[in-house]
Amino acid sequence: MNSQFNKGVIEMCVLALVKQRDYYGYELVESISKRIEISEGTIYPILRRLTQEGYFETYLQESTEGPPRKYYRITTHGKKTAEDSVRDWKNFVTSVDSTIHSQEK
Amino acid sequence: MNRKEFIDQLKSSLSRLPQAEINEIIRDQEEYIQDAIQAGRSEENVIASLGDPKTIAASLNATTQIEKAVGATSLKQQAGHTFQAVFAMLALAPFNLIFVLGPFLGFAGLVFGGWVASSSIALSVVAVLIAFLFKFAFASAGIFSFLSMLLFLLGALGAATLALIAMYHISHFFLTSTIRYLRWNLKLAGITKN
Repeated sequence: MNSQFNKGVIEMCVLALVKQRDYYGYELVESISKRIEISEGTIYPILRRLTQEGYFETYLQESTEGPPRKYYRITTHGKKTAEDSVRDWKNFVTSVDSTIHSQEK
Repeated sequence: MNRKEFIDQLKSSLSRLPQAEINEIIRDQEEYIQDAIQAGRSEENVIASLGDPKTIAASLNATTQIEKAVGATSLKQQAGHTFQAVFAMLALAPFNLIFVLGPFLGFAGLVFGGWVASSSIALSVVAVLIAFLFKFAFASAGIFSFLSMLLFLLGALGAATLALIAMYHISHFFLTSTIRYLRWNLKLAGITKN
């Protein structure tokens, strides 16, 4: 995928995933990089920014395998933003789709 | 690059952040690398796909400075964090921002010039006013010429004060717009493939 497409979209993916359930860093990056080709290091600054801007809150939880993990949980503010941006995205994709098909005829 | 080198580079590129914040970031990165290794990946593989630690640090630095500028309580604080944010963003996306730096420095120069001009005018008016009052104490000019001169100087003082207040608002507006732009840019920039 062209990296120009990723701008802003990754942030929406992060918001949309954490809205579904709490994630820890590695698990979240795995879910995204499985489908979208990105440098893994770009996710952490996004997580940190979304946390600083009040979309997420974090808590530490002991893990059986190693050091405690930091989990990200969505806030009410974050939930609203996630819903808005997913809706905008869907509208955008629908418009792009219908534009492409109208050109093909 | 191995794990230790990655962490060391990250740490040194973050050196302007408060120590508690650096510690937290390093802890999170260690957790990430540990999780990746547990998932069966090699250390080199994880480090390589994390990308350049300097890029990660630049992005974290920019975020922190922008948030601090947004929450700044004084104009001086806001200015300091805005300048630091501009330079952190420059390290993150040089091609993206090189066109922004010129206008930014140009406007910053204008604003600075405005401060120098308005405060020197204010200072000279105060100096003339003091000199005038001293002179009046020793010379016996007519009451009308004294009053008209005094009113003129007080008027000038008022105008200079208004200019200073205007400069305060212009500076605040300039810094707030810059930060808003940087925040928007940060959301869009900095996502790269390996």
